Amino acid sequence: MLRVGILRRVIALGILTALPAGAQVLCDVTYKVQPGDTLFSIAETHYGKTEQWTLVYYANQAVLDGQTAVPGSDVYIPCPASEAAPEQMPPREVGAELTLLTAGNYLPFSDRNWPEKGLATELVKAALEASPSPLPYAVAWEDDWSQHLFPLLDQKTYDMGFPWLKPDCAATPDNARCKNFHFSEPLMELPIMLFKREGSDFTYESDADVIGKRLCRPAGYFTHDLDRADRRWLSEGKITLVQPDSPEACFEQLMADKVDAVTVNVFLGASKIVAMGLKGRVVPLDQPLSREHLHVIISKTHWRGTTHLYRINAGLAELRETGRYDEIVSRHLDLFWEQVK
Amino acid sequence: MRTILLVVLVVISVGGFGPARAEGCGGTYTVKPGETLSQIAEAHYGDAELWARIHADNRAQLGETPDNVRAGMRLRLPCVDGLPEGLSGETDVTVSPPVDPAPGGPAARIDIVTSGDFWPFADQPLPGGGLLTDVVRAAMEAADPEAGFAIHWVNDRAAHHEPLLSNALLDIGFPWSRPDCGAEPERHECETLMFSAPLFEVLVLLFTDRTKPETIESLADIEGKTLCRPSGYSTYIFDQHGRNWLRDEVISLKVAASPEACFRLLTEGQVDGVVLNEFLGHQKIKTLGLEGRVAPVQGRPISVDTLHMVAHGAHPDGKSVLGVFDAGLAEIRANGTYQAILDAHMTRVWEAY
Repeated sequence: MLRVGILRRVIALGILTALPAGAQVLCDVTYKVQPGDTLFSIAETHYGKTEQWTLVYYANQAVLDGQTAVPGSDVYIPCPASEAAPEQMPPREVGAELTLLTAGNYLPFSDRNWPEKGLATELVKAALEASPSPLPYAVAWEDDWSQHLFPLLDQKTYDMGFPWLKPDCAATPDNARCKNFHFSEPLMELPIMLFKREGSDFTYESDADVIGKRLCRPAGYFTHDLDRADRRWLSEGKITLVQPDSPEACFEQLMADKVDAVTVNVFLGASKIVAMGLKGRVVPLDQPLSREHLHVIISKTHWRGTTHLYRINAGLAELRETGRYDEIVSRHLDLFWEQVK
Repeated sequence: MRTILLVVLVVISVGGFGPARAEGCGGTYTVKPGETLSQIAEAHYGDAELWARIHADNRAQLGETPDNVRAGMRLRLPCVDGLPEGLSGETDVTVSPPVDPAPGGPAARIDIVTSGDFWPFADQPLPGGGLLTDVVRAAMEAADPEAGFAIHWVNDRAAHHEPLLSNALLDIGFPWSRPDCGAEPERHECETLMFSAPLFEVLVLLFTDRTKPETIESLADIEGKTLCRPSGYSTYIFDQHGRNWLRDEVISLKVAASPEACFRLLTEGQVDGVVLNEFLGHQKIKTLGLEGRVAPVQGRPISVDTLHMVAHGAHPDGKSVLGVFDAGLAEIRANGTYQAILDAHMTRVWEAY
């Protein structure tokens, strides 16, 4: 079975290299997953670059088993959307009844210099425009994330905040974030990857592969995915977690062979690798370690707590139904991978 | 109480038509959290369009993007047609205090009516008599009418608008939801009632019995169903935003004596759904032991309702009394009292879930 997959991929590569440059994108088609395929290999086959795997990932969340493409299933291969123009949204700031708080420098989700001020920003605005009970709204920027939850959102200086990861609230209901805030339906899923040195023999096919490994994740980042019910890696001492001050420090430790892998979200990892000139020397493993979700949040004691949450959720459902959601996500992903090329 | 209105008018005319003081025109303004340039322009020039002028004068600080405005930034507001007044280089602008109606004040005590069994908003056994009773009391204490005020509990909600408020037996009442009077001013509620600023906002949901074979899965299945609403609760919510369930007889409405009576009809199979706000519905499900059996229909709510204090148009002093309440509400909203009350009550609400 594995042989067939490899053979097919070799053939596919042969065809692609025979094509003139610029004509290598095979998209807007349905592809039947072959044994041995991964999202990386499917992206390589259709787009000529593995980085575009997130396009396939976000377009096929219903048919993927977690992050794994199931052999025999059909996956849709969307076209890169960088040519598509964003829909013009009217500025809704006069007499805003809902002010959303976010911060910059969080690519590709929120940044004032990114087109449409980021993927999450565009999704939230489009959701509010599409909501059945719309309100005039505004987006405010405060670049110090540490001020957002407490005090700014907790004290209702602003109404809602985004994009925020949701802790495992079922397991830790006393977590301050769970206790004080409502979370919207997910804005989007965020794959958390393992990044290793090129050539290292670290593979990740099941959780057993991680036991005994040294992982690096910056201090202050969540760790609940490393210590959940089905993997008590931290509380049972199954792995060594190194937590320096920054993602850069993690990648430095990786290059110095002080850790076996850096585990951060796919976008953060990719941008740090490029910024640090490590492209080709640090590579992601093709199976995400965990999946987190980004949300819009509002204080549970806000006078419009449940109704604002409804406005966002109903708008998001509408965007997903009309296909606008996919259009926005794929356009930003495309821009992102173009940027880190 | 008409004297109040006169006093208010006099105060406004002094503030509004006095000559602009040249030395006070323009100046430095410190941006408050959440403010946009349009809001600042609206507040200081009465014209949101002048945001572009503020942007132009502060380009060094803001750059090309007006959205760069941030709390704590000190912006120069240019003098345009004598506005804004009262700014100086070092002085922050504060919101002008609500007009104090006290001088010459109301001759009679302000009598406020509410009803119990409306968790968590108005219910006598709750701390402070419930969230909105607490808010109303704090707003009235802030407004401090000379002859005082009193909150009365009359549990027959159907009697509140008429005759209690319409005959001026009591002055104002809460909590009541407001229809979209902008879209349909001829509605009975819009023609007869005056509404305060909103006190709270809730989702009104349809609760159904999941153990019944033909339970309503979504609002698309609503045709021909019978829904229950307690006596005295608003019914305009079925006929709004392009939906005409009662007018076009899409549904039948059963009015029962109380929320409990509605839920009893539901479990007996005599109605297909009960329509209540999310909080009251969940509380009744819990106290009646219907958890796991009765639940809200997912998706769109029946309505998104704001809750208000109301006065009746037939009350000779209704408007001025409502003005007293609104001034107090604005004051407790600005000084943090309102939010502190919500924090205390809503924390209890979510702990009860």
